[in-house]
Amino acid sequence: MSDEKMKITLHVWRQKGPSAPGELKTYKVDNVNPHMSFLEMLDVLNEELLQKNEDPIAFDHDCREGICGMCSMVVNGRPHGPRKATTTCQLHMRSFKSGDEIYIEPWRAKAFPIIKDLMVDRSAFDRIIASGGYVAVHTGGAPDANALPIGKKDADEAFDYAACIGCGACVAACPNASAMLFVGAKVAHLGKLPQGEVERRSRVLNMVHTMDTEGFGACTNHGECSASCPKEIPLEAIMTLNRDYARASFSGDE
Amino acid sequence: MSAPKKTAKRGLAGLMDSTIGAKILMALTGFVLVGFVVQHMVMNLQLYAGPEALNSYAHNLKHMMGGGFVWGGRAFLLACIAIHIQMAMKLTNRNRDARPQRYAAGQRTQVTSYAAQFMALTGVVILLFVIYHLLHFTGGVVQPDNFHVLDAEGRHDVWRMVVTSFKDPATSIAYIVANIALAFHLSHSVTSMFATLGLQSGRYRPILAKVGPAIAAFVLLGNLSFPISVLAGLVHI
Repeated sequence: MSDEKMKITLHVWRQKGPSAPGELKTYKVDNVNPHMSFLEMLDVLNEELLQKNEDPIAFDHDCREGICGMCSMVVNGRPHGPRKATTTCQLHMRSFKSGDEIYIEPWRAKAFPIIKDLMVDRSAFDRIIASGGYVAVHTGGAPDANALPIGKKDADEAFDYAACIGCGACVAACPNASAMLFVGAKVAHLGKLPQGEVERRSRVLNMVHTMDTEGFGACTNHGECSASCPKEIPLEAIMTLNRDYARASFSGDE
Repeated sequence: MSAPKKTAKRGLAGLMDSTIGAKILMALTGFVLVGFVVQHMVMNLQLYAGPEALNSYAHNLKHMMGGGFVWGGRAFLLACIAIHIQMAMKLTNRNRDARPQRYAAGQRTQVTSYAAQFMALTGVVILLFVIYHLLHFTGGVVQPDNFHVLDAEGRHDVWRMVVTSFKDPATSIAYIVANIALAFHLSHSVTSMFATLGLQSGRYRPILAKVGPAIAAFVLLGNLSFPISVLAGLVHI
């Protein structure tokens, strides 16, 4: 791998505010180190913009180690860019070639209104979680490990679903802007565990209700969500959600 | 931030209010419709058994329970079609509204199929075809000369009607095109139906993923064989 500097042309969605009109603006970034992360490349561009007294590009980021779910941008038509199971912050410029043109846009969904440029308001996800994505238990002190026996398979599957970082790539990738994979991951994760079993029915009903009222689309089983998920949440999450929802609808229990 | 105050409605009312409920209705009505389509193709294979087999089958079907069976079936299928279309429109509109501003530079899809992306379009083609097909072989409005024919025993000569109609290349092409649209529709929808009903999980998933394309291919091959056999002269009067 070479350390030669790359020249990149960016087409970035610029939008001053939620209701302002937006457009793709073109920027040239020279001196791109191939070892830079995608966000570091944007940092370099933003410093140049600041030196020229221009408004820097607003984008979300936090941990920059692929676990927080803040970084959210559609790079060349794919959420988090071209690499499988990789968040934008873990995407490196060596995934591109010098001379490449890169299009960067925010997540696009009615439920995720644009705040500015590439930043979107993802609090719809928070409201879905608040309506049932938890277990209401008295936590007390930390319990002993394995005090509550859970089968290895269930524990593994619950952990896989729990890997969801709530970034919203599933919604961004879905042709219908549906949040079924996100909700499915939470429902499947908690439903697999004895702590979550208690509220399994009311959880799925309330979370789906909030999902619908937030204005997300419906699932048409394209599978784009799972293919774009940086944590590779399996599509089975949606099947589990559908099954749990139908069961809970007809159940007499609380 | 506090949790939303409104909680979900329970039971059938809540289910029907939700997107998942609408999809379950699409899946259940789709199940009936695909079942009908499969048996329709299989029964039509009697075309190859000759006029006696097909005409007596059609005659018996039409007069089963004094005609009640056919009319009951038609009413049931019509209700399923109506619900299927209404839910499809409701969900399609909702999905369109869920992304009011599209990606300016386009979206790059990774795993979806043309069948999945053009469900609404193939659905409309199928609907138009069903209307045409009913006017053709059930109502006798299209090509009435082919329709009003009786066989030696005074029964409706279904076999002759089909063969004469398919001798016309334009008619055959209409049937072929419609059945290609149907195959696309089924290849995505049958598997999707299991997913929506929550049945496509665990170890059944790889099998069910192939059920849609398999049924689509089965129905397509059977249905295309009729006009093609007639055009090729394999079935002739």
